[in-house]
Amino acid sequence: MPSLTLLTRWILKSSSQLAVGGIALWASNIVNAVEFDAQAQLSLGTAVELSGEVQVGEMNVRPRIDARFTDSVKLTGIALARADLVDKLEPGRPSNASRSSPSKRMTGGDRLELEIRELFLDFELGNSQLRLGKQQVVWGQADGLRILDLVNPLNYREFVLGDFENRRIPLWMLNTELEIGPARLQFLWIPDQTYDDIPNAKATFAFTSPTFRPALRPGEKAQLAQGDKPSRLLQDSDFGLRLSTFTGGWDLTANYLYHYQDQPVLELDRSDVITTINPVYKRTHLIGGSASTAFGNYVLRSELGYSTHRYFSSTAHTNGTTETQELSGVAGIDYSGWTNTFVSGQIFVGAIDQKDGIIRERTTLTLSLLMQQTYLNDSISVELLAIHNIKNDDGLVQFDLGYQMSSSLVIKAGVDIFYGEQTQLFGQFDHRDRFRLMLEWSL
Amino acid sequence: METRKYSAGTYFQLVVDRPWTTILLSTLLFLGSAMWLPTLVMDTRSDAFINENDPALVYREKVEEIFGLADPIIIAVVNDSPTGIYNTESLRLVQWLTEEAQKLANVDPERVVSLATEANIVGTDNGMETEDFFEVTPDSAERVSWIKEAIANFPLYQGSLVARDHSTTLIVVEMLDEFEADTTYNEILAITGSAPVGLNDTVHVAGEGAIAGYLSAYIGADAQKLNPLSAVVITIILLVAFFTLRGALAPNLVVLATVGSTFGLMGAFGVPFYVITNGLTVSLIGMAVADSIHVFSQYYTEQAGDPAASQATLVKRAMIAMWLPITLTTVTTAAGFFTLYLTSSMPPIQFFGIFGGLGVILAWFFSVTFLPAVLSLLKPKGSRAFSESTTTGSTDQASRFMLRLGKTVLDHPKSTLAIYAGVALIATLGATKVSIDEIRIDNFQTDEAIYQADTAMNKAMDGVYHLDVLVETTTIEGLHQADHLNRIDRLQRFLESQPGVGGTVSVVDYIKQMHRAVNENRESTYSIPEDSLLISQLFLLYSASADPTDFEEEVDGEYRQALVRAKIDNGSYKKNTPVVRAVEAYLQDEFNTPEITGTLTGRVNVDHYWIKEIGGSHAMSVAVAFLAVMLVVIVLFRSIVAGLITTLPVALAILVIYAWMGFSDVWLGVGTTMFASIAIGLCVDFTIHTVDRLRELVDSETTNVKESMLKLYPSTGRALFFNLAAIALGFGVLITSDVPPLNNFGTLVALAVVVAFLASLTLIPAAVYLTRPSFIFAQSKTEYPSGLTAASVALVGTLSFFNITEANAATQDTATAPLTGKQVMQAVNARNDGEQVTRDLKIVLTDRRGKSRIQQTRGYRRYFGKEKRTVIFYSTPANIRDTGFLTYDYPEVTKDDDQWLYLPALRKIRRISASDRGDYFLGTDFTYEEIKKENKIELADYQLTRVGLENVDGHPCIVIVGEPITAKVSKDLGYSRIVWRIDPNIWMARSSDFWDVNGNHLKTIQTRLIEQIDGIWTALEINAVNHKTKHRSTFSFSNVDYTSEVPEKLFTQSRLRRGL
Repeated sequence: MPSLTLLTRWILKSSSQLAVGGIALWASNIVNAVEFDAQAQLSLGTAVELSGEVQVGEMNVRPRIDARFTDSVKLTGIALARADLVDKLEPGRPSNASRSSPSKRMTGGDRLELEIRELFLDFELGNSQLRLGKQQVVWGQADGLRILDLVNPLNYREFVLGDFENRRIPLWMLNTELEIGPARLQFLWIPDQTYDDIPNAKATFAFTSPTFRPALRPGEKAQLAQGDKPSRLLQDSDFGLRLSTFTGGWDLTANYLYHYQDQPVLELDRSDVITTINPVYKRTHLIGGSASTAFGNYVLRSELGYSTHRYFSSTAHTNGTTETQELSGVAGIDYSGWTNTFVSGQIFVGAIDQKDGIIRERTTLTLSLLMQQTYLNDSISVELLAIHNIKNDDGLVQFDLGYQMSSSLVIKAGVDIFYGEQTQLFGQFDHRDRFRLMLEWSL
Repeated sequence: METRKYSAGTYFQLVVDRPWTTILLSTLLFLGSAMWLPTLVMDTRSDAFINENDPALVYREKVEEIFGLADPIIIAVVNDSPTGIYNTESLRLVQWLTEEAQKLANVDPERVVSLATEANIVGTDNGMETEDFFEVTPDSAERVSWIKEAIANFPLYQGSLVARDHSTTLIVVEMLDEFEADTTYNEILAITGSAPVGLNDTVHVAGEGAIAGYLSAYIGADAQKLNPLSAVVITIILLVAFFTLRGALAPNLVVLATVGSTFGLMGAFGVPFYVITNGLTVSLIGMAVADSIHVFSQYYTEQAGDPAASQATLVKRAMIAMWLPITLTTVTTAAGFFTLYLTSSMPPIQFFGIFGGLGVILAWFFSVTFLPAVLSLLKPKGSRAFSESTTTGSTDQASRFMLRLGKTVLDHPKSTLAIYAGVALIATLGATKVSIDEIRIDNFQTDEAIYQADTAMNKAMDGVYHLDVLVETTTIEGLHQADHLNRIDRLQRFLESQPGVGGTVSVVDYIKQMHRAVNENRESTYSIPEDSLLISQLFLLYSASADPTDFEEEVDGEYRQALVRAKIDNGSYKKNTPVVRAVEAYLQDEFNTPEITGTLTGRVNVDHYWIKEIGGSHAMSVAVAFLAVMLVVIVLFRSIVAGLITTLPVALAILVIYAWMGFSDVWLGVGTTMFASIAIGLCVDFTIHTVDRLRELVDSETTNVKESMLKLYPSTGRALFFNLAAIALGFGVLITSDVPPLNNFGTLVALAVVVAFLASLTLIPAAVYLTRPSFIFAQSKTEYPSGLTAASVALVGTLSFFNITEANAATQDTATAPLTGKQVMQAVNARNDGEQVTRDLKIVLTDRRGKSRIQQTRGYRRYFGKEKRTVIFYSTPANIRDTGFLTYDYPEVTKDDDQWLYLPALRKIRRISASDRGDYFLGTDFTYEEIKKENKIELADYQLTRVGLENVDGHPCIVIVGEPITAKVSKDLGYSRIVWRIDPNIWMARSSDFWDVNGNHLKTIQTRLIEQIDGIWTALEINAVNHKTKHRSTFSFSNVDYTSEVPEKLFTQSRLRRGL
């Protein structure tokens, strides 16, 4: 009989061999058991300004792969290849300035870009979920106006036009949801320091409204410094918590996001002859919640958010900025009393703690109206969206027509009309009104 | 829990889909393990029970090395005549046997001791002389008397070599290699068999070496008898339980695979087959079959309930229902075994624990792989035992018996508890009488030759069991000092005063013999010389005339260390313990000085030390096993009360066993020490099955608790009964074992499971009935949404009478008291559409020009009580992928349903108001209401009228007209009138027509393909045509599965957002 220690070693050795064999078997089983699903969407789109100027002429290919390893583990990957022959939305080579290294786009010259849009692994453990990887997280109940939907930054190449799906920049993050009694707690850890893609000065939708510009004095000479983007993996991570529940017919959430605002504050350094404009990213706490319920033909949606640290251009401070707080809320009513018709109205209210010299209205009041109508068993859809800022008297009207020709082909046409003064948010693009046409294939 | 069931469904689907792969993989595991079987070796040595690093064992081995000792095989020559062995024939026999034994390969000729090898010490003129007893062949009466005289004058040999009554003399044969004991023992048996035995001579073979040698063969023979017997017993039980050949054979294959793999792995890891390992075989047979019994019971229950279902479906359903309970019981049983490893210090018991646990896990493995795979290959075939009970309502004997038991218990719960309290009290009394003991020879039946030889030798001689004291002096030739020898002499006298000690031997006896020899054999000089110098001279004298190695068993070459051997006539731990303690105390208090020390050793001492540990490790293993299973149960049911209630019968079973041991003088020894841990692991299986089932049967809303609890008995009770039969009889087979400890072990475990079984089905229900613990009564029933099923089954059942009548009425077109419109639609609503369903849905939307759009979705539905939740996920085409629709359909008419739509383009969930129910669902010709209700309706919305009968596709149908009760409802629904044509055989509309609010014919829905899946009538193709737009929608369902668990989390917004 071998000695006990010998035996133990033997058992260990043999069991480890068995384990290795087992893992190999398991792995090969997994490969065999993986369900793969690949899809792709191809779209051709153009937008022509009412002046006749061609704004966009692009082709997008959006392949998607889904791999299901087990019932509780799956992988999703979505990529985007975009060729914009006109190159006016992001003139020159598309910028990666506001992006972290892992989220950078690959570019092929000025007109071609390639991006991993999403790549994440989903795990499920009981009623808990974990989504790990590059992804989009959407918070809030409001349509089109963002109060809580601040987790992902946006690409402003088409300002606020275009689908949110395409505008939102997915981030690398850990997104976990746990069940706590009747509620679910979502925790986000976002170590990805990627912020809004702001179009450069030559772009069609370059920001010109004073709201987005540094508070320079008349005649003051200034130069833009290289921005100092947060880059520390841990210290500069964003964190989010959302507690959501469904009770008594109400969908309720409480949200908290500790994050960098996705647009830099333009701080001025006036110590030299020429003022330096330093784009600086600032942190804030966002505390808020949302509630929605349905009654009769109506659905009520509401959202409230409070940011503890907001920075706006200010003429009262030498550094050109001032810190304030912001409270905003939205309430919306959807009506579906008419067959195949959907009507939704929203009222958006924002208020900041007024400080001297701040280049921003103390309060904002924006209304939106959405009307959707479908015909021929949803194969034709007509949509009208109007957004109007009461204080500034500017706004946007969008009209969309969609026709589903077959399962795989959709034709969309639409008009985007801005109005208002040049100094205002929407008004600044008054001259960019455009007509759109797009063909979309599902492969 | 849902995830596991969900995954289990997927897994078992895989198994039934690929049975050959599964069989191949499990067969490979079996063959891969079983190929090591030939390497399995037996180790029946007593020392095998001791950890080889144990100090007592190490010390004894050291002593054996110094003095060249080994566990001998002892041959006894017995002569019953008045002269005893002192006759020429007997002495010649001794000589012959000695010479033959010396020739054996595994025997050192120098280490055979008998009258034929020893010498007499006599005085001569010159001093002293030694003369071999057999220097002259004892052929003459003269020589015989000389020998008799010599022994009479040589006290050392009296009682040790020749019995004091002359009846017996021994030939002590030491082996070179104790692992070869069985061969040597057999060779010696061959020698004694052919020996020239005299008229009154008998020859016995015994001794530790013989015990070890014979035990291997003995146990092998026992195993050859036991194992087939277990297999036969198990097969009979299976036949009785299922009445089918497959039910009897398939579990036997699982048993074969389990036992083969387990012992193969033992061989692979170089773990020998010990005395007690034999018990493992039988244990494994009993336990391996238990899982199969539960699987088969479920399989036949499913089969009886749904005879039309495919074999794969039946197997899958049975496995889904049973995999959790059998996994739980596997975990608890394995936990019981593994605690043996953790708490015992004896290798055979440790390995019994490891491989017992491993075996249980292997049995589980084969039961969830091999068993369903094999089963799925067979044609579906019912078991008479089960089909009778469901179809005719009659039940078999076992079920009836169980039901009667249940009624008695639930009618008298307090008396039941009182009886158990009484039993517990008496058992506690008995348990206090349990004592620890181990008698190695008791491994044999008393009528075995070796047992009788042992008894005879111990009676005639001073004893064949040895308690040794190693005496060490600090100086070379220290043992030449008279005071040291006197000290040893006093020690011998002390030893001889102890009970059971027949005599002692040491070098002092030789000194005395020599001292007397040099003093003209004067009796008075049989003493230790006072002069140390004289002692040295005596040794010198001896060596001059004889072989100086003669003393090597008593003293080392340097005369520094000596061995004092006490011969004891029994091997009982219990009897020898006081002796060992007394000698230890004597050595400590009286003997030891700085110059000379005595240390206790020898077989009796070593046995004392390892057996002493049995008590401690037993208590520890019982406590750990008990806590382990309690913990498992607490975690499983997430309730401490559950832990207590579930382990109560187990505690009782163990207590009863102790009482049995106490009252019937069964000692706690090697064989019996293991019973508790194993019994705990087995007993808790019964309680887990019971509690698990009770949780399913009752909850806080149960109105008639007793009725509900009674359902436990004919179903789970019956399965447990056969489970009990398999285990109890499986272990019971050990009762026929020729190895008494296994015998006791089998009896105890069988008794324990019987008690646990009874207590599970009486004590637990009584306690639950009286105390209403929250872990059973207050649980949310989401896991077991049986209420609705029961209700709908009952309703469908009562309607089945009308069902037939209606069908006849329809075909014959005679009007015999037909159901009203409302009753018909109630029957439609009561139609079983499954507690849950998973299915793929292909939607084809075709416009008036024949252009089609095709969408693919996957849908789930599940009832949570009366609330119905439905979710649909779109997968293709890409532009709508991930679109999802979730509804909560509440039973209360006044409560609006909740609906959510996930729009992937917005990545947002949109609440849909309940009034949208008349809107068309995502471009189809079905409204949200129709999608949600699935061939059923909201009764409160309509005024229902029966208008006659009509044939649809050859099926006679009842025609019902429904008109919305108010204009508002009419507007919400989008209809002013609906006509349904209901097939009363399946309570489903085969065709329906709809008129819009303006009274125009709007659309027609036709159900084209209706099949029974998992026993549920299912519409597989539904076609809707809008007569105004000429648009049509075809819904084709596939992969409809009512059995796989649909997890609750699928019906959450979180899941809607994430997609499938």
